[in-house]
Amino acid sequence: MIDARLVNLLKYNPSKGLEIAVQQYSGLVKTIVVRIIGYDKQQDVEETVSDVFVELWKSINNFDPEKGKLKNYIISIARFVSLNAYNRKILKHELIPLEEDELEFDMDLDNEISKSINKEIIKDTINNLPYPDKDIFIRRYYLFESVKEIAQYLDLTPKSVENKLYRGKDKLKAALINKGIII
Amino acid sequence: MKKIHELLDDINIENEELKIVESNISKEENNKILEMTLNKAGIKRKGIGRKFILPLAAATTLVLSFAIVFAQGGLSNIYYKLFGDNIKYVTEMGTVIDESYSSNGITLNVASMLGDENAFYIIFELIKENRESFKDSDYIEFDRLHLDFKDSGGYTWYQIEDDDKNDNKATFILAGNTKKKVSGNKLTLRAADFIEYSIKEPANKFEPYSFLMKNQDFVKQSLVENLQKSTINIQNSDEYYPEDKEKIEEMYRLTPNYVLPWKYANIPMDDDIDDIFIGNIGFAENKLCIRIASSDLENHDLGDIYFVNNNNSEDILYDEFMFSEEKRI
Repeated sequence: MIDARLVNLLKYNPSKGLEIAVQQYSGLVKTIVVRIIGYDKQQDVEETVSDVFVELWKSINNFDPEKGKLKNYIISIARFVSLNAYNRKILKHELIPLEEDELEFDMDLDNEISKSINKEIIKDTINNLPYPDKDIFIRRYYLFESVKEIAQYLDLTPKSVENKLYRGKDKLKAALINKGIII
Repeated sequence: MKKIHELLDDINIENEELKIVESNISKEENNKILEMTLNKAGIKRKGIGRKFILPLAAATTLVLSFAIVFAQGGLSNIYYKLFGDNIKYVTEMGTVIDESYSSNGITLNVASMLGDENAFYIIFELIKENRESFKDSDYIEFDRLHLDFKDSGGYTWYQIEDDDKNDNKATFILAGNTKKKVSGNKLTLRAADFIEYSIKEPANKFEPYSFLMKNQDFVKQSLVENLQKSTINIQNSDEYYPEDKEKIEEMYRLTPNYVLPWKYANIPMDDDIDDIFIGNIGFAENKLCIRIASSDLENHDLGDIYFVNNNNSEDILYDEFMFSEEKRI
Protein backbone atom coordinates (compact mmCIF):
# COMPACT_ATOMS: atom_id res chain seq x y z
CA MET A 1 0.00 0.00 0.00
CA ILE A 2 1.29 3.44 -0.83
CA ASP A 3 2.37 5.59 2.11
CA ALA A 4 -0.26 8.30 1.62
CA ARG A 5 -3.17 5.87 1.78
CA LEU A 6 -1.81 4.16 4.89
CA VAL A 7 -1.20 7.52 6.56
CA ASN A 8 -4.77 8.59 5.85
CA LEU A 9 -6.15 5.30 7.12
CA LEU A 10 -4.17 5.77 10.33
CA LYS A 11 -5.65 9.24 10.66
CA TYR A 12 -9.25 8.59 9.70
CA ASN A 13 -9.82 4.85 10.16
CA PRO A 14 -7.22 3.86 12.76
CA SER A 15 -8.36 0.27 13.32
CA LYS A 16 -7.98 -0.52 9.62
CA GLY A 17 -4.82 1.59 9.37
CA LEU A 18 -3.17 -0.21 12.27
CA GLU A 19 -4.23 -3.57 10.85
CA ILE A 20 -2.46 -2.80 7.58
CA ALA A 21 0.54 -1.15 9.27
CA VAL A 22 1.05 -4.24 11.48
CA GLN A 23 0.63 -6.57 8.50
CA GLN A 24 3.07 -4.59 6.38
CA TYR A 25 5.73 -3.52 8.86
CA SER A 26 5.69 -5.89 11.86
CA GLY A 27 8.58 -7.97 10.46
CA LEU A 28 10.71 -4.86 10.02
CA VAL A 29 9.79 -3.49 13.46
CA LYS A 30 10.50 -6.84 15.11
CA THR A 31 14.00 -6.87 13.59
CA ILE A 32 14.82 -3.48 15.17
CA VAL A 33 13.18 -4.38 18.50
CA VAL A 34 15.02 -7.70 18.82
CA ARG A 35 18.34 -6.08 17.93
CA ILE A 36 17.93 -3.57 20.74
CA ILE A 37 16.08 -5.32 23.56
CA GLY A 38 17.16 -8.89 22.73
CA TYR A 39 14.95 -11.95 22.58
CA ASP A 40 14.91 -13.11 26.22
CA LYS A 41 11.12 -13.09 26.42
CA GLN A 42 8.80 -13.29 23.43
CA GLN A 43 6.18 -11.38 25.42
CA ASP A 44 8.54 -8.40 25.83
CA VAL A 45 9.25 -8.35 22.10
CA GLU A 46 5.54 -8.42 21.24
CA GLU A 47 4.82 -5.70 23.81
CA THR A 48 7.52 -3.45 22.39
CA VAL A 49 6.47 -4.09 18.77
CA SER A 50 2.90 -3.15 19.67
CA ASP A 51 4.18 -0.03 21.53
CA VAL A 52 5.88 1.02 18.28
CA PHE A 53 2.60 0.85 16.37
CA VAL A 54 0.74 2.74 19.12
CA GLU A 55 3.44 5.44 18.89
CA LEU A 56 3.11 5.46 15.09
CA TRP A 57 -0.63 6.03 15.41
CA LYS A 58 -0.16 8.77 18.03
CA SER A 59 2.47 10.62 16.03
CA ILE A 60 1.16 10.13 12.50
CA ASN A 61 0.36 13.85 12.20
CA ASN A 62 4.07 14.58 12.62
CA PHE A 63 4.96 12.50 9.58
CA ASP A 64 5.69 14.63 6.53
CA PRO A 65 5.72 12.54 3.31
CA GLU A 66 7.80 15.23 1.62
CA LYS A 67 10.61 14.78 4.13
CA GLY A 68 10.96 11.05 3.74
CA LYS A 69 9.55 7.58 3.57
CA LEU A 70 7.03 6.16 6.01
CA LYS A 71 9.17 3.04 6.36
CA ASN A 72 12.09 5.12 7.67
CA TYR A 73 9.76 7.05 9.97
CA ILE A 74 8.61 3.72 11.41
CA ILE A 75 12.24 2.61 11.80
CA SER A 76 13.02 5.77 13.78
CA ILE A 77 10.01 5.17 16.05
CA ALA A 78 11.00 1.51 16.50
CA ARG A 79 14.51 2.58 17.48
CA PHE A 80 13.27 5.21 19.94
CA VAL A 81 10.67 2.95 21.60
CA SER A 82 13.07 0.00 21.77
CA LEU A 83 15.84 2.09 23.33
CA ASN A 84 13.36 3.27 25.99
CA ALA A 85 12.41 -0.35 26.67
CA TYR A 86 16.10 -1.27 26.77
CA ASN A 87 16.84 1.53 29.25
CA ARG A 88 14.08 0.23 31.57
CA LYS A 89 15.64 -3.23 31.69
CA ILE A 90 17.46 -4.16 34.84
CA LEU A 91 19.82 -6.67 33.28
CA LYS A 92 21.16 -5.09 30.13
CA HIS A 93 23.31 -6.59 27.44
CA GLU A 94 25.81 -4.36 25.65
CA LEU A 95 24.29 -2.84 22.50
CA ILE A 96 27.71 -2.08 21.02
CA PRO A 97 31.04 -2.90 22.74
CA LEU A 98 32.15 0.11 24.78
CA GLU A 99 35.52 0.55 23.04
CA GLU A 100 33.68 0.80 19.73
CA ASP A 101 30.84 3.03 20.96
CA GLU A 102 32.63 5.46 23.27
CA LEU A 103 33.61 8.85 21.87
CA GLU A 104 36.40 9.37 24.49
CA PHE A 105 35.30 12.90 25.39
CA ASP A 106 32.12 14.47 26.63
CA MET A 107 29.93 16.94 24.84
CA ASP A 108 26.94 19.04 25.66
CA LEU A 109 23.71 17.55 24.39
CA ASP A 110 21.48 19.07 27.06
CA ASN A 111 21.73 22.73 26.18
CA GLU A 112 19.47 23.42 23.17
CA ILE A 113 21.95 25.64 21.30
CA SER A 114 24.96 23.38 21.65
CA LYS A 115 22.76 20.37 20.96
CA SER A 116 21.62 21.89 17.70
CA ILE A 117 25.20 22.82 16.65
CA ASN A 118 26.52 19.36 17.51
CA LYS A 119 23.60 17.74 15.73
CA GLU A 120 24.41 19.61 12.51
CA ILE A 121 28.07 18.59 12.72
CA ILE A 122 27.13 14.95 13.26
CA LYS A 123 24.68 15.08 10.35
CA ASP A 124 27.20 16.74 8.02
CA THR A 125 29.99 14.35 8.94
CA ILE A 126 27.83 11.29 8.37
CA ASN A 127 26.41 12.65 5.12
CA ASN A 128 29.92 13.35 3.83
CA LEU A 129 31.22 9.86 4.51
CA PRO A 130 31.95 8.11 1.18
CA TYR A 131 30.04 5.02 0.05
CA PRO A 132 29.82 2.49 1.67
CA ASP A 133 31.20 4.06 4.88
CA LYS A 134 28.03 6.08 5.49
CA ASP A 135 25.82 3.01 5.09
CA ILE A 136 28.09 1.05 7.42
CA PHE A 137 28.07 3.81 10.05
CA ILE A 138 24.26 4.07 10.04
CA ARG A 139 23.81 0.30 10.11
CA ARG A 140 26.17 -0.06 13.06
CA TYR A 141 25.28 2.91 15.22
CA TYR A 142 21.70 3.61 14.23
CA LEU A 143 20.36 0.16 13.42
CA PHE A 144 22.71 -1.80 15.73
CA GLU A 145 23.59 -4.37 13.07
CA SER A 146 26.56 -6.57 13.94
CA VAL A 147 29.82 -6.17 12.03
CA LYS A 148 29.29 -9.68 10.62
CA GLU A 149 25.79 -8.81 9.35
CA ILE A 150 27.03 -5.61 7.72
CA ALA A 151 29.95 -7.43 6.11
CA GLN A 152 27.61 -10.06 4.70
CA TYR A 153 25.15 -7.48 3.43
CA LEU A 154 27.80 -5.37 1.69
CA ASP A 155 29.93 -8.33 0.60
CA LEU A 156 32.97 -7.09 2.54
CA THR A 157 35.23 -8.74 5.09
CA PRO A 158 34.46 -8.04 8.79
CA LYS A 159 37.97 -6.53 9.08
CA SER A 160 37.23 -4.06 6.30
CA VAL A 161 33.93 -3.07 7.98
CA GLU A 162 35.77 -2.53 11.29
CA ASN A 163 38.35 -0.33 9.53
CA LYS A 164 35.67 1.79 7.88
CA LEU A 165 33.85 2.17 11.19
CA TYR A 166 37.08 3.21 12.86
CA ARG A 167 37.73 5.80 10.14
CA GLY A 168 34.15 7.11 10.41
CA LYS A 169 34.47 7.42 14.17
CA ASP A 170 37.77 9.28 13.78
CA LYS A 171 36.25 11.72 11.30
CA LEU A 172 33.32 12.36 13.62
CA LYS A 173 35.64 12.90 16.56
CA ALA A 174 37.83 15.31 14.60
CA ALA A 175 34.82 17.29 13.32
CA LEU A 176 33.36 17.63 16.82
CA ILE A 177 36.73 18.67 18.32
CA ASN A 178 37.28 21.28 15.58
CA LYS A 179 33.77 22.68 15.28
CA GLY A 180 31.59 21.28 18.04
CA ILE A 181 30.79 22.18 21.60
CA ILE A 182 32.79 19.97 23.91
CA ILE A 183 32.65 19.97 27.67
CA MET B 1 31.24 9.96 28.35
CA LYS B 2 28.98 10.12 25.27
CA LYS B 3 28.36 7.10 23.14
CA ILE B 4 28.21 7.36 19.37
CA HIS B 5 24.85 5.61 19.12
CA GLU B 6 23.39 8.28 21.44
CA LEU B 7 24.61 11.02 19.10
CA LEU B 8 22.56 9.50 16.34
CA ASP B 9 19.30 9.71 18.31
CA ASP B 10 18.27 12.95 16.64
CA ILE B 11 19.57 12.22 13.18
CA ASN B 12 16.99 12.30 10.43
CA ILE B 13 17.24 9.13 8.36
CA GLU B 14 13.92 9.63 6.63
CA ASN B 15 15.44 9.75 3.14
CA GLU B 16 18.03 6.96 3.43
CA GLU B 17 17.62 3.83 1.33
CA LEU B 18 17.61 1.31 4.14
CA LYS B 19 17.31 -2.32 3.19
CA ILE B 20 16.77 -4.28 6.37
CA VAL B 21 16.28 -8.01 6.71
CA GLU B 22 12.76 -8.45 8.06
CA SER B 23 12.05 -10.97 10.81
CA ASN B 24 9.68 -13.81 10.10
CA ILE B 25 6.41 -13.19 11.80
CA SER B 26 3.56 -15.69 11.91
CA LYS B 27 -0.06 -14.77 11.24
CA GLU B 28 -0.81 -15.70 14.86
CA GLU B 29 1.89 -13.37 16.18
CA ASN B 30 0.67 -10.60 13.86
CA ASN B 31 -2.88 -10.98 15.19
CA LYS B 32 -1.63 -10.88 18.76
CA ILE B 33 0.42 -7.72 18.12
CA LEU B 34 -2.56 -6.08 16.44
CA GLU B 35 -4.86 -6.90 19.37
CA MET B 36 -2.30 -5.53 21.85
CA THR B 37 -1.86 -2.39 19.75
CA LEU B 38 -5.58 -1.72 19.45
CA ASN B 39 -6.09 -2.33 23.17
CA LYS B 40 -3.29 0.05 24.14
CA ALA B 41 -4.55 2.69 21.71
CA GLY B 42 -8.08 2.25 23.06
CA ILE B 43 -9.39 1.60 19.55
CA LYS B 44 -12.27 -0.77 19.11
CA ARG B 45 -11.89 -3.11 16.18
CA LYS B 46 -14.79 -3.06 13.81
CA GLY B 47 -16.76 -6.32 13.90
CA ILE B 48 -16.17 -8.20 10.72
CA GLY B 49 -19.13 -10.52 10.96
CA ARG B 50 -18.85 -13.55 8.79
CA LYS B 51 -18.79 -12.65 5.20
CA PHE B 52 -19.12 -14.33 1.88
CA ILE B 53 -18.81 -13.02 -1.63
CA LEU B 54 -21.93 -12.52 -3.64
CA PRO B 55 -21.64 -12.98 -7.38
CA LEU B 56 -21.52 -9.67 -9.16
CA ALA B 57 -23.01 -9.27 -12.62
CA ALA B 58 -20.24 -7.09 -13.91
CA ALA B 59 -16.80 -6.32 -12.57
CA THR B 60 -15.43 -3.47 -14.51
CA THR B 61 -13.03 -0.56 -14.60
CA LEU B 62 -14.57 2.87 -14.43
CA VAL B 63 -12.59 6.03 -15.07
CA LEU B 64 -14.00 9.48 -14.52
CA SER B 65 -12.38 12.91 -14.71
CA PHE B 66 -13.91 16.07 -13.34
CA ALA B 67 -12.83 19.60 -12.54
CA ILE B 68 -12.40 20.78 -8.97
CA VAL B 69 -14.64 23.70 -8.23
CA PHE B 70 -15.79 24.92 -4.87
CA ALA B 71 -18.57 27.26 -5.93
CA GLN B 72 -21.84 27.75 -4.11
CA GLY B 73 -24.34 25.03 -4.66
CA GLY B 74 -26.81 22.56 -3.24
CA LEU B 75 -25.75 20.13 -0.61
CA SER B 76 -26.71 16.54 -0.26
CA ASN B 77 -28.01 15.37 3.10
CA ILE B 78 -25.10 12.96 2.98
CA TYR B 79 -22.92 15.74 4.36
CA TYR B 80 -25.03 15.64 7.45
CA LYS B 81 -23.66 12.17 8.09
CA LEU B 82 -20.17 13.57 7.79
CA PHE B 83 -20.50 16.75 9.77
CA GLY B 84 -23.48 16.02 12.03
CA ASP B 85 -24.83 19.08 13.78
CA ASN B 86 -21.99 21.22 12.44
CA ILE B 87 -23.76 21.06 9.08
CA LYS B 88 -24.87 24.66 9.55
CA TYR B 89 -21.26 25.80 9.06
CA VAL B 90 -20.84 24.06 5.73
CA THR B 91 -24.24 24.13 4.07
CA GLU B 92 -23.19 26.78 1.59
CA MET B 93 -19.94 25.14 0.57
CA GLY B 94 -21.00 22.04 -1.34
CA THR B 95 -20.91 21.84 -5.12
CA VAL B 96 -22.93 19.53 -7.31
CA ILE B 97 -20.61 17.85 -9.81
CA ASP B 98 -22.88 15.13 -11.20
CA GLU B 99 -20.42 13.69 -13.73
CA SER B 100 -20.77 10.03 -14.55
CA TYR B 101 -19.26 7.23 -16.58
CA SER B 102 -20.84 3.86 -17.35
CA SER B 103 -19.42 0.51 -18.33
CA ASN B 104 -20.86 -3.00 -18.28
CA GLY B 105 -24.08 -1.94 -16.62
CA ILE B 106 -22.40 -0.07 -13.76
CA THR B 107 -22.22 3.70 -13.50
CA LEU B 108 -19.72 5.64 -11.45
CA ASN B 109 -21.13 9.03 -10.58
CA VAL B 110 -19.33 11.81 -8.78
CA ALA B 111 -22.28 13.48 -7.11
CA SER B 112 -20.76 16.41 -5.27
CA MET B 113 -17.71 17.83 -3.67
CA LEU B 114 -16.84 19.93 -0.67
CA GLY B 115 -13.56 21.42 0.38
CA ASP B 116 -11.19 24.27 0.79
CA GLU B 117 -7.81 24.94 -0.78
CA ASN B 118 -6.08 21.90 0.65
CA ALA B 119 -8.72 19.44 1.83
CA PHE B 120 -11.68 17.98 0.02
CA TYR B 121 -14.50 15.51 0.35
CA ILE B 122 -15.98 13.87 -2.73
CA ILE B 123 -19.25 12.02 -2.70
CA PHE B 124 -19.38 9.37 -5.38
CA GLU B 125 -21.88 6.66 -6.17
CA LEU B 126 -21.99 3.29 -7.83
CA ILE B 127 -25.22 2.81 -9.71
CA LYS B 128 -26.41 -0.53 -11.02
CA GLU B 129 -28.45 -0.53 -14.17
CA ASN B 130 -30.69 -3.32 -15.48
CA ARG B 131 -32.98 -3.03 -12.44
CA GLU B 132 -30.47 -4.59 -10.09
CA SER B 133 -30.06 -3.27 -6.56
CA PHE B 134 -27.57 -3.36 -3.70
CA LYS B 135 -30.13 -4.73 -1.27
CA ASP B 136 -28.15 -7.92 -0.57
CA SER B 137 -24.81 -6.28 0.02
CA ASP B 138 -23.81 -5.01 3.44
CA TYR B 139 -20.64 -3.39 2.22
CA ILE B 140 -18.54 -2.99 -0.89
CA GLU B 141 -14.80 -3.16 -1.33
CA PHE B 142 -12.89 -2.07 -4.40
CA ASP B 143 -10.02 -4.12 -5.65
CA ARG B 144 -8.50 -0.85 -6.80
CA LEU B 145 -9.72 2.67 -6.22
CA HIS B 146 -7.41 5.42 -7.33
CA LEU B 147 -7.65 9.19 -7.41
CA ASP B 148 -5.19 10.99 -9.70
CA PHE B 149 -4.24 14.54 -8.88
CA LYS B 150 -1.20 16.60 -9.72
CA ASP B 151 0.09 17.56 -6.31
CA SER B 152 1.36 15.36 -3.48
CA GLY B 153 -1.22 14.46 -0.88
CA GLY B 154 -3.30 11.58 0.26
CA TYR B 155 -6.81 10.33 0.49
CA THR B 156 -8.98 7.64 1.98
CA TRP B 157 -12.49 6.49 1.26
CA TYR B 158 -15.33 4.67 2.91
CA GLN B 159 -18.86 3.61 2.18
CA ILE B 160 -21.65 5.42 3.97
CA GLU B 161 -24.85 3.95 5.25
CA ASP B 162 -27.50 3.69 2.56
CA ASP B 163 -30.77 5.54 3.14
CA ASP B 164 -32.60 3.13 0.86
CA LYS B 165 -31.10 -0.34 0.73
CA ASN B 166 -33.49 -1.40 -2.02
CA ASP B 167 -32.36 1.15 -4.56
CA ASN B 168 -29.66 0.60 -7.16
CA LYS B 169 -27.17 3.02 -5.63
CA ALA B 170 -24.30 2.71 -3.16
CA THR B 171 -22.71 5.91 -1.86
CA PHE B 172 -19.14 6.60 -0.80
CA ILE B 173 -17.14 9.48 0.61
CA LEU B 174 -13.57 10.08 -0.43
CA ALA B 175 -11.64 12.38 1.92
CA GLY B 176 -8.32 13.83 0.83
CA ASN B 177 -5.80 16.58 1.29
CA THR B 178 -3.02 18.15 -0.75
CA LYS B 179 -0.08 20.41 -0.05
CA LYS B 180 -0.99 22.93 -2.73
CA LYS B 181 -4.22 24.54 -3.88
CA VAL B 182 -6.36 22.08 -5.80
CA SER B 183 -9.14 24.37 -6.93
CA GLY B 184 -9.34 24.50 -10.72
CA ASN B 185 -7.34 21.28 -11.21
CA LYS B 186 -8.72 18.12 -12.73
CA LEU B 187 -9.18 14.95 -10.70
CA THR B 188 -9.54 11.47 -12.14
CA LEU B 189 -11.22 8.75 -10.15
CA ARG B 190 -10.61 5.14 -11.20
CA ALA B 191 -12.54 2.27 -9.68
CA ALA B 192 -11.92 -1.33 -10.64
CA ASP B 193 -13.34 -4.73 -9.76
CA PHE B 194 -15.44 -4.17 -6.72
CA ILE B 195 -16.85 -6.93 -4.55
CA GLU B 196 -20.06 -6.88 -2.57
CA TYR B 197 -20.03 -8.50 0.82
CA SER B 198 -22.93 -9.68 2.86
CA ILE B 199 -22.79 -10.18 6.61
CA LYS B 200 -24.55 -13.42 7.19
CA GLU B 201 -26.67 -13.94 10.28
CA PRO B 202 -26.54 -17.50 11.59
CA ALA B 203 -29.56 -19.48 10.42
CA ASN B 204 -29.70 -21.80 13.43
CA LYS B 205 -28.30 -19.83 16.29
CA PHE B 206 -27.03 -21.72 19.29
CA GLU B 207 -29.61 -21.56 22.07
CA PRO B 208 -28.16 -22.22 25.51
CA TYR B 209 -31.56 -22.81 27.14
CA SER B 210 -32.74 -25.49 24.68
CA PHE B 211 -29.34 -27.14 24.74
CA LEU B 212 -29.21 -27.35 28.53
CA MET B 213 -32.79 -28.62 28.74
CA LYS B 214 -31.86 -31.47 26.40
CA ASN B 215 -28.48 -32.15 27.99
CA GLN B 216 -29.03 -32.16 31.73
CA ASP B 217 -25.54 -33.53 32.44
CA PHE B 218 -24.15 -30.14 31.36
CA VAL B 219 -26.34 -28.08 33.70
CA LYS B 220 -24.55 -28.36 37.03
CA GLN B 221 -20.84 -27.95 36.83
CA SER B 222 -17.89 -26.96 38.99
CA LEU B 223 -15.20 -24.53 38.04
CA VAL B 224 -11.55 -25.51 37.91
CA GLU B 225 -8.48 -23.39 38.49
CA ASN B 226 -7.51 -21.30 35.47
CA LEU B 227 -4.00 -22.56 34.90
CA GLN B 228 -3.42 -19.94 32.23
CA LYS B 229 -3.65 -17.13 34.74
CA SER B 230 -0.22 -15.72 35.32
CA THR B 231 1.17 -15.73 38.86
CA ILE B 232 3.84 -13.13 38.22
CA ASN B 233 4.08 -10.68 41.08
CA ILE B 234 5.01 -7.24 39.81
CA GLN B 235 4.37 -5.33 43.04
CA ASN B 236 8.03 -4.96 43.94
CA SER B 237 9.38 -4.75 40.45
CA ASP B 238 10.99 -1.54 39.18
CA GLU B 239 10.87 -2.78 35.61
CA TYR B 240 7.47 -1.27 34.92
CA TYR B 241 6.13 2.25 34.81
CA PRO B 242 3.24 2.83 37.27
CA GLU B 243 0.71 3.06 34.39
CA ASP B 244 2.00 -0.22 32.92
CA LYS B 245 1.70 -1.78 36.36
CA GLU B 246 -1.87 -0.57 36.59
CA LYS B 247 -2.71 -2.09 33.20
CA ILE B 248 -1.14 -5.43 34.08
CA GLU B 249 -2.97 -5.48 37.39
CA GLU B 250 -6.25 -4.65 35.65
CA MET B 251 -5.74 -7.47 33.14
CA TYR B 252 -4.89 -9.78 36.04
CA ARG B 253 -8.03 -8.74 37.89
CA LEU B 254 -10.23 -9.33 34.82
CA THR B 255 -8.83 -12.78 34.12
CA PRO B 256 -10.94 -15.29 36.06
CA ASN B 257 -9.25 -17.45 38.68
CA TYR B 258 -11.59 -20.31 37.98
CA VAL B 259 -13.11 -21.40 34.68
CA LEU B 260 -15.26 -24.20 33.27
CA PRO B 261 -13.20 -27.32 32.62
CA TRP B 262 -12.59 -28.53 29.08
CA LYS B 263 -15.36 -30.87 27.99
CA TYR B 264 -14.52 -31.01 24.28
CA ALA B 265 -18.22 -30.91 23.50
CA ASN B 266 -17.61 -29.28 20.09
CA ILE B 267 -21.14 -27.90 19.94
CA PRO B 268 -21.53 -25.96 16.68
CA MET B 269 -22.57 -22.33 17.00
CA ASP B 270 -24.26 -22.41 13.61
CA ASP B 271 -24.62 -24.86 10.72
CA ASP B 272 -22.32 -22.82 8.51
CA ILE B 273 -19.64 -22.08 11.09
CA ASP B 274 -17.20 -24.93 11.23
CA ASP B 275 -14.23 -23.40 13.00
CA ILE B 276 -15.72 -22.02 16.22
CA PHE B 277 -17.34 -24.28 18.80
CA ILE B 278 -18.82 -24.24 22.25
CA GLY B 279 -16.28 -26.29 24.19
CA ASN B 280 -18.41 -26.47 27.32
CA ILE B 281 -21.48 -24.80 28.80
CA GLY B 282 -23.20 -25.03 32.14
CA PHE B 283 -24.11 -23.36 35.41
CA ALA B 284 -21.38 -22.95 38.00
CA GLU B 285 -21.56 -20.80 41.12
CA ASN B 286 -25.00 -19.60 39.98
CA LYS B 287 -23.65 -18.20 36.71
CA LEU B 288 -24.10 -19.37 33.16
CA CYS B 289 -20.60 -20.08 31.89
CA ILE B 290 -19.64 -20.77 28.29
CA ARG B 291 -16.27 -21.91 27.07
CA ILE B 292 -15.67 -21.12 23.39
CA ALA B 293 -12.98 -22.73 21.30
CA SER B 294 -11.60 -22.31 17.79
CA SER B 295 -10.23 -25.12 15.66
CA ASP B 296 -8.28 -22.69 13.53
CA LEU B 297 -5.06 -21.93 15.35
CA GLU B 298 -4.08 -19.40 12.70
CA ASN B 299 -7.15 -17.28 13.27
CA HIS B 300 -7.52 -15.50 16.58
CA ASP B 301 -10.55 -13.54 15.54
CA LEU B 302 -13.89 -14.87 16.72
CA GLY B 303 -15.76 -12.12 14.91
CA ASP B 304 -18.64 -10.72 16.94
CA ILE B 305 -20.19 -12.77 19.71
CA TYR B 306 -23.31 -11.43 21.35
CA PHE B 307 -26.30 -12.68 23.27
CA VAL B 308 -29.83 -11.84 22.18
CA ASN B 309 -32.83 -12.07 24.49
CA ASN B 310 -35.23 -14.60 22.91
CA ASN B 311 -38.23 -12.57 24.11
CA ASN B 312 -36.90 -9.24 22.92
CA SER B 313 -34.59 -9.12 19.92
CA GLU B 314 -33.61 -5.53 20.77
CA ASP B 315 -32.13 -6.67 24.07
CA ILE B 316 -28.60 -7.58 23.08
CA LEU B 317 -25.71 -8.29 25.40
CA TYR B 318 -22.62 -7.43 23.45
CA ASP B 319 -19.03 -7.49 24.53
CA GLU B 320 -15.53 -8.29 23.43
CA PHE B 321 -13.89 -11.52 24.43
CA MET B 322 -10.29 -12.50 24.99
CA PHE B 323 -8.51 -15.76 24.41
CA SER B 324 -7.57 -17.41 27.65
CA GLU B 325 -5.95 -20.51 26.30
CA GLU B 326 -4.75 -21.93 23.04
CA LYS B 327 -5.59 -25.58 22.66
CA ARG B 328 -6.55 -27.73 19.71
CA ILE B 329 -10.02 -29.19 19.95
